[in-house]
Amino acid sequence: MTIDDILFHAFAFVAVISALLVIFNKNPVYSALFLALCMSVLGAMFFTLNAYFVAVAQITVYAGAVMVLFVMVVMLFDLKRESEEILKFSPVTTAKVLAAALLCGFLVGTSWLGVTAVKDHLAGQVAPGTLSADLEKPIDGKIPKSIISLSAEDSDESTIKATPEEARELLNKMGGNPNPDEDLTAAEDAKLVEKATATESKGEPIEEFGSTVTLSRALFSKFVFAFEAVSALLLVAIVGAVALARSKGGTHHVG
Amino acid sequence: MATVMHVGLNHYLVLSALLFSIGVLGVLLRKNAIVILMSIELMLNAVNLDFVAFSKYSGNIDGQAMVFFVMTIAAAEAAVGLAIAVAVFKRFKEVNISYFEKLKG
Amino acid sequence: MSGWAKLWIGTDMGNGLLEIIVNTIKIALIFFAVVSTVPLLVWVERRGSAFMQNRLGPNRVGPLGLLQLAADAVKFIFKEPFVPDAADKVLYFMAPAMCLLPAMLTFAAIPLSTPFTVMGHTFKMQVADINVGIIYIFAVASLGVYGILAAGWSSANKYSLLGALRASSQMISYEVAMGLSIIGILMKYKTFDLTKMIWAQTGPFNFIWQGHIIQPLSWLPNWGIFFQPLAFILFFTAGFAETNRLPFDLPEGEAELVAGYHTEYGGFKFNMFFMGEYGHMMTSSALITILFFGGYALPWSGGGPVQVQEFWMSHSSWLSQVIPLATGEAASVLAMLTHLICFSIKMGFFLFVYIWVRWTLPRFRYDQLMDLGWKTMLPWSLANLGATTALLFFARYNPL
Repeated sequence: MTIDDILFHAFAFVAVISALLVIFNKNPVYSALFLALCMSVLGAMFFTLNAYFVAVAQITVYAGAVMVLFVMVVMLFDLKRESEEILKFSPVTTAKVLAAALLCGFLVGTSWLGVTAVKDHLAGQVAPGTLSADLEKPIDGKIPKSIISLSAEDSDESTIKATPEEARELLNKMGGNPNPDEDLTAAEDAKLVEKATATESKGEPIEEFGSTVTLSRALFSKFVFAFEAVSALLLVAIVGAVALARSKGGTHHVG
Repeated sequence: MATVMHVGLNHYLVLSALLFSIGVLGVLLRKNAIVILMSIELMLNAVNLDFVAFSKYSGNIDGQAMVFFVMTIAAAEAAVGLAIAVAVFKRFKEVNISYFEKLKG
Repeated sequence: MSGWAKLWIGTDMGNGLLEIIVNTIKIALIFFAVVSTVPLLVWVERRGSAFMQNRLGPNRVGPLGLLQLAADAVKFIFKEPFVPDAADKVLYFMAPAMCLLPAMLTFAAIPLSTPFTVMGHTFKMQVADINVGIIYIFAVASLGVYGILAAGWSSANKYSLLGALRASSQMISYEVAMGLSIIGILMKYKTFDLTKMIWAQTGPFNFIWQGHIIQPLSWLPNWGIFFQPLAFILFFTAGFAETNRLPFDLPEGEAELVAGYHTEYGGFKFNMFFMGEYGHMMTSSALITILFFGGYALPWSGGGPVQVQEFWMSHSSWLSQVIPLATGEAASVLAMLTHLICFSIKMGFFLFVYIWVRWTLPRFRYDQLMDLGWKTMLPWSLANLGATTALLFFARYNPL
């Protein structure tokens, strides 16, 4: 009963309630605002799942841009509240609700009960230590090298700069050279270079799971084609949206 | 009670399943085109939660990379969908889909 | 561990009761600090603007007019809270809170000073030490648009709605320029964490070029502004646009739109809008000092905050006789206070520059504003990013 559990249940409660209010609210502005709340809460939940960059991306992209677009469009349309009941009692509506409930039951049942089956399957197939054979326990800290590292220099250093003594010594050496016109000897220069490059190149940030460094390593090596394709897709979407929504000269120019 | 309270992978999967089915219900029940688009976004968010939960509990970063792409594509789709809705609204002054159910002529 | 220790300290980060209590107190303290700095800023604005415009400001209430803000606060609290008839009641009440909340949340991630140790426990002067600090701040700041939209739409007033739409599109446009402009300096620091950025700016001005340390102009401190001056200009300008301050305050322009999206608000709700705006201003100033001016670190301290702590360690033995603390702990408290004063001076300077610019420059027209955001700042940010990337690539390229 740690704070993580309490946080998860609180976030889950808010997310489900706001999702229900999205679809059962007659005012479309409220629906949009509740969906923004649901997305923000999901972003907070990504923080508890150690997915820091994805959480921030969720709040920036979804809650901060996509939903703002929705809210602005709904406000500009000046839509009135829906006049008819959303859940009126008719055979078609009953069939729809039953279908959704069936899907929900199937998914929830699989999620709740089926995880042990996946766990046993995975535990049988892979050697312990590479993947987490016990799906209840996440892998914190470092990622197993077998999974994602395509570059050889996964560093284990966790400092971003030299220790203060080294930094001071280095700078004393720079500023305290008694003969500033005389070049440093080759040995001293090599030592400085080694110290400098030790500070710069080995000072990688902590490679926590879910941090930006880890995610970007995977994105730019394994998924680089998808990354570039998605950029092209975004360009096409921008051009298409502008062409569709122009008042004069757009694709749906009226009159 | 302890199994319910101590949060594991299946808690996140159940939440994602609930959100997904609420999204499906929204697409089926609502008649406003904008609210239908919003329910589709809700379904995509539920799937994102699934990916991130699996990514954490199996130690593989690929789930989060997938979420990155799903998010981007969903944003592009929302933009284009709303542009279509704006164009339709300007022409017909209506976004209620029951107005568009029957082919004219 | 005994049961009591397990409850107090906790098994993992964030589990112990001590940590929960300390964090709750920190949240409350930072909230009240921001809220009570706002009247001070308003006083500086009113007296400062009066000085710039060659007139007297409020000088009747209290010495130098300092109690004017107390009088204003009392007025705000006791005003009749009217609500327009056609207004959407729920959104009308929620909108000021939706404006205030992101401003407070962003200020939570700013490191105010070095951590200090008292009685064995280390306290960070930061509510949330997030490792994706700067992009968290941008993410939460982009949630401020909802408050403006809700305020404008729920007021049932044409001018409010127009002001709200202008304000929200302005904020969204300048978010893009703001985010892109600082990628160069983030590449230099190689981190998103704000504390690490401050540590990376210690010492004299130096950089590494293909394996050698070059130290031109070592009388300059190692601040970000000397590496990325264009990014500083772009970020500073975008900060004005994000907080809806002049010269970008067309959404609140008195001559055009009465008062923009907060026309229909009076009393304490109006005050909450202002607290949100000044809170945003404080976060912007704090970010500028952390990114470009070294944050809480003193300018030329070669060893960074550690050197300051050692200085106090050798000079603070008298303090540990007055207060029952170990010498190291007293030194850390004094170092914390030193850095807090340094940070406040730097942040206060930028807040004054915000106020100064407001009463100096005229307002942008709306289309000029959008042109500036999309056609000028965005290309310049991309050019800055490209140039920085090329320079960094050649700097790290070691032919050995």
